[in-house]
Amino acid sequence: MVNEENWEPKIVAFLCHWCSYAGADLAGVSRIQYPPNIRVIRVPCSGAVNPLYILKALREGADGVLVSGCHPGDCHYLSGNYFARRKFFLLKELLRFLGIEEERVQFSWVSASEGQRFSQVVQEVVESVKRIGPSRKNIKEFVFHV
Amino acid sequence: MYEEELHRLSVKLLDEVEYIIGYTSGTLPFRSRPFLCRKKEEVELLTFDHFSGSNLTRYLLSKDLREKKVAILAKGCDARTITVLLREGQIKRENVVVVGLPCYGMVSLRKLEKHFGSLRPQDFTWHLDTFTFQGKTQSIGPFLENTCQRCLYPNPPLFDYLVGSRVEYVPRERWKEDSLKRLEEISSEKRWEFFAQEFQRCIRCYACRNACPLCYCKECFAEAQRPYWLSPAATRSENLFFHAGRALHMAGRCVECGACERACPLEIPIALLPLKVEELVREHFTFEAGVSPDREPPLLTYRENDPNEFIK
Amino acid sequence: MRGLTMRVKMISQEQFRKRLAEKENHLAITEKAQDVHRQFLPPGIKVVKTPKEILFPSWKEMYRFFFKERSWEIQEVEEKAFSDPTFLLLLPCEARAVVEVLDTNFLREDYRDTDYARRRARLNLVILGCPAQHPTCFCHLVGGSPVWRDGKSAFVLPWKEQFYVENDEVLFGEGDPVNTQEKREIESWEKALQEKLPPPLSPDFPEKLYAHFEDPEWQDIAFRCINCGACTFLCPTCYCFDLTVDGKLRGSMLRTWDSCMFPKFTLHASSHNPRPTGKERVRQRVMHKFSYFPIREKRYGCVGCGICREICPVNWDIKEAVERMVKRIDSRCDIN
Repeated sequence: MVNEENWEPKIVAFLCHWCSYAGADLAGVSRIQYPPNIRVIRVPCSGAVNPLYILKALREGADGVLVSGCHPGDCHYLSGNYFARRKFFLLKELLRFLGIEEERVQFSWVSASEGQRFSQVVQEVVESVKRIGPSRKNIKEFVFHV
Repeated sequence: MYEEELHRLSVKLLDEVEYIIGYTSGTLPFRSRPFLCRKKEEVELLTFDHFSGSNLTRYLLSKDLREKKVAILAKGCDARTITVLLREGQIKRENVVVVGLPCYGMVSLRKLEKHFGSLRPQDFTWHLDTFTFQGKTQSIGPFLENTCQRCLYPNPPLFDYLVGSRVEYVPRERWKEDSLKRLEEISSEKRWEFFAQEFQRCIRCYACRNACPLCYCKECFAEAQRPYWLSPAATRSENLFFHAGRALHMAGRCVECGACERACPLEIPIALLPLKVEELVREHFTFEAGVSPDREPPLLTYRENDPNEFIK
Repeated sequence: MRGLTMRVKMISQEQFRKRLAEKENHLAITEKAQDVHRQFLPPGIKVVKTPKEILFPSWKEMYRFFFKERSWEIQEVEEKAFSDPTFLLLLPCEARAVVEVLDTNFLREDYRDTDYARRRARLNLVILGCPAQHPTCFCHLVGGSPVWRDGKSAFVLPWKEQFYVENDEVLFGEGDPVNTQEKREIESWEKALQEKLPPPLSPDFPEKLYAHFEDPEWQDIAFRCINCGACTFLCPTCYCFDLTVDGKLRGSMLRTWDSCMFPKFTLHASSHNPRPTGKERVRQRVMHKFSYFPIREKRYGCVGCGICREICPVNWDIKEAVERMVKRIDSRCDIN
């Protein structure tokens, strides 16, 4: 099903509209190159990211998930990312406890002016997921390709 | 345990409440089952023993009992549940009379069977934290349910009446058996092997979810069609999704009663996931569900120095 | 059913164990059968909780669909090579569940479920008779017995120091013939066993129970049930299933076990639910097995195996429920 030689990971990226999405946009207009493996989903705030979204993305076949928001203290909604931080911590530790590779779900704080940094983060994430190979533990058993 | 005192109290309580939700002996050996006591003549049927593990507080939420004044028997963990339910606005304090039961732990029938083979009730005599089998008295410690072995609240933190005498020790310190810690000490790959096997076995009967008094959503995320999270198929990855999702929904709410694990017909140690989340909440957010009713639940608050190193 | 056409033989306990160990890869045994006959069995036989795991698995992809270039395409799901065991050792109650309930449902005159038919054809039942009644069982109540067999499948009964075997050609190999004296002894033992059993439910119980649909006793009976579904999933006779579409533009149609205990089981698209509370659902479960199904199919939908009673998290007891309704019916009370 998956051709091991030229396998490219599929990363789903939840980016908060006010900071990380804008940062990604800045990377784009600045013509900064970064790996095309990410599929961006824009959310209003990292605090709006339900941990179930991350599990769902993995279930549908994402090899990795990145969630990125504003730096603590800079949230457009004041405290959304603080709540997010707690939720993500629990999710990450729970997945680690279950034996899921840590690289599958990653988080970052990227501000609207950090275009270069965003591309670096994506680079790191894609490389780390490439290293651990395609997702096998979370993907639903009846997935198929046409 | 404490049955005489319990009966005397129950007769008096029936003057002020409509029902008493308690335990009675089951229809099969070594079983204790939830019991709704309505009349003073039925009070004699109330029992409390080492198999009375069900968390009765889930019946407080049933349509018929919700608006009535009821008394409920609550062990340490059950009393914690009541605090959480009060906090979440699911029950009214004036409708509930809490009869606290200090608890030495619930014995796991499965562990007993594993050790002794086929069991006959007449071979066992039960004391508070020991039992006698064929003349030999031994500690119940090794035979307690996994959650009871690591219990921190044997005495109910909330009660209107207390039956029996307080437990003088903390079970986690006394028995030094922690199924969660044992798993944390092995490698990640071995943990995955273990969980992969257990999730493969799960048949998604939802006994764990329904036995849990804090899983009271009218529509569970696992059965929702809009949005559609996962299918009903009981495959390894779907089951992982369900149990991880449920554990996260219990974050800061799970009272570690073990009703989920006891309910599982396939003996899957499913409590490990919400227990792990509760340990994380305890350690990093210094919060325990159902113990301090005035504190904000952990996911409704934050601190500047919350764990941050895992974020790039 | 005894006749000159039925092959019977006696085999030693050692041969029993040895042949099972040899055919291990083709065998499975139900957990209940393993509990009862543990001392005779070799270790290492695959254990299933119910015959349904082989005949009617908990999930199945019916077909796949995807949207391609402006039209929908349906794709068959390739049948994986049949790796399930071909012999299933089970107790008479569980065998009765397969032969009298599951077969009745899935192999109808007007419709045969192809997947079930294929699996059923490949599965040989080996019925292990119970030497006595297990504490959780009540097969007698629903017309069963610890030595029930269908006359076609292999039947094995521990007898003195050996095993009495009927209808087996392939599994246990050659045995000793059963002489007339032994045959008579076995028959009279079975007859005595039958007579010792308490009587079954009266033949008109299904209709009488039907008349007690509105009995307020149901409210009491339903109290402790937590509506989880463990009983239905482990019940050897329960056969309800659900069809789910998984995916939007690309996905599968999944058939999964469903449970009448789930609140959404009878949720209509209009959002009306004829079984809104636990009382209606619990009542339905008992009525289906002891009234609706027997009235329609002339056999009970419950085989008295007692698995539901053993695993119920709150010890809700179907035998107790039935006995309570028997009392209500017998007392001829006015239910209005």
